[in-house]
Amino acid sequence: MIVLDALRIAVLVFVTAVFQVSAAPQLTPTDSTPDLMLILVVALAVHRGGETAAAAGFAGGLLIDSVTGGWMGLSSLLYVVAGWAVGRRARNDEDVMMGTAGHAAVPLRSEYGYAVLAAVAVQVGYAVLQGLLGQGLPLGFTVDHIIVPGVILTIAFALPLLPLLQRLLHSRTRIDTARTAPI
Amino acid sequence: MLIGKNRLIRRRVIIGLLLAASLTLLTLSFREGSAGVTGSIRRSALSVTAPVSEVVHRVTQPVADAWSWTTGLIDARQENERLKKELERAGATGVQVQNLTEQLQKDEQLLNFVHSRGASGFDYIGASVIAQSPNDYNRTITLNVGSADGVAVNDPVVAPYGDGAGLMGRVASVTGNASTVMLILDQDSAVYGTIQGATAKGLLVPSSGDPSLLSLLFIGVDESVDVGQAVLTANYRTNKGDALLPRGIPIGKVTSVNQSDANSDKTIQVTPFVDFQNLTDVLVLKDKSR
Repeated sequence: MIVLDALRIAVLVFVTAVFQVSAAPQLTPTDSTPDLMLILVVALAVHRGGETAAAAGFAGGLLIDSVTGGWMGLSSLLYVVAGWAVGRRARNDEDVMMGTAGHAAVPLRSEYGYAVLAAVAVQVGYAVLQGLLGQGLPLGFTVDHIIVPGVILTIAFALPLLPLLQRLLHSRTRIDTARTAPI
Repeated sequence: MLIGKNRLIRRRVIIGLLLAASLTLLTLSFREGSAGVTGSIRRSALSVTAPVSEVVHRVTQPVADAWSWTTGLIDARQENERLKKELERAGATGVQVQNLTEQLQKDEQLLNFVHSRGASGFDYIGASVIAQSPNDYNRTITLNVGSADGVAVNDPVVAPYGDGAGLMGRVASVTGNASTVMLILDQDSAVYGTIQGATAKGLLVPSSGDPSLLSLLFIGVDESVDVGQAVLTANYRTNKGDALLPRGIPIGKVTSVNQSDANSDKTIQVTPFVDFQNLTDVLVLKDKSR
């Protein structure tokens, strides 16, 4: 069962990476594209936990950087941090909900909230790291042509994709005995 | 309690290892570029994803064309009510006809380029774009042809423009069935160009102010350059080992010329001819003497 689930996640990561580099640039009117991998990482962080999301983000980022000729490891680094952070946040929210509502399912609107915050953080993080690596672009151009359209497109694609991923990933609940001890 | 603590430690170890692996790869990539371990990973990933990317690209191309057709339809509505009604009636057939017309036009442009004298001494390999970088930091595209088709690193690549083709970039890495092309707008790109009708040669690099434009460097203040003049490839190598670009391939047109007393060179801005947002079919040029 666990192997099948891992296989399903691996296929999702591969398909998402391929769509991000081959389909997404065609389907958007700007130079920026939606961060489909980040949407998957957020969904995995909520439904499978931060470690699974971080591992999937690492593999997906590596695939995207390899194909597009970017700095290898840069996208992986950001997705690992995003997966871990969203996973931890979701875990805390689940604990609060368990105490108040008696169940621990993160609502979809919270997933959208995580996606928005993660999209902004990853876009800004990407811009900062590119700058540190000597490949930064002018600030105005970065904000107008990369960060803002990137975040908007990611949110727009997250609207239909997160419920879809929720359906795909909901069949297996997270097995976790260390809920009260966040890392 | 003990199990919970073990899980916590395992979780920290997993995240720590992933972060360490990312940073290691980033460091290797920074130091080695496309060589070494990172180059091997890159080529392997490209080989695995290229066939799937090509399928996905082909599947989504009609959607992109339909989107393009729809936006064109909106423009037509604003300009001409009669045209709008005709296009609406045409429906799906209109999309197909539009697609075929555009495809034919692009093929004609590339054919014109092949038949022109501008790039004699070169063979041509037709290719389709199957993937492209998702942001403006790295301007690269992936083609569905590789070393098995005769493509090699540094081969120049041209895309349809006007009656022929304009320079788009050069091959940065290649696998058996796919190749990655660094566009002339990439921050690492530098190409020697010359002003049409003039002798001066300069280096074309992405503009620092607006990376969708190019800057022509090292053109002296005494050189005569006017707005609207075309910039063509010069028969110069930028780096040792680079392929020699064919002379006379259009790159862009001069859109602004400035000079100051403090600077011995003009500041020339060039707008590329090639539409980088709409790249589908291209030609890879292969030096016959190679």
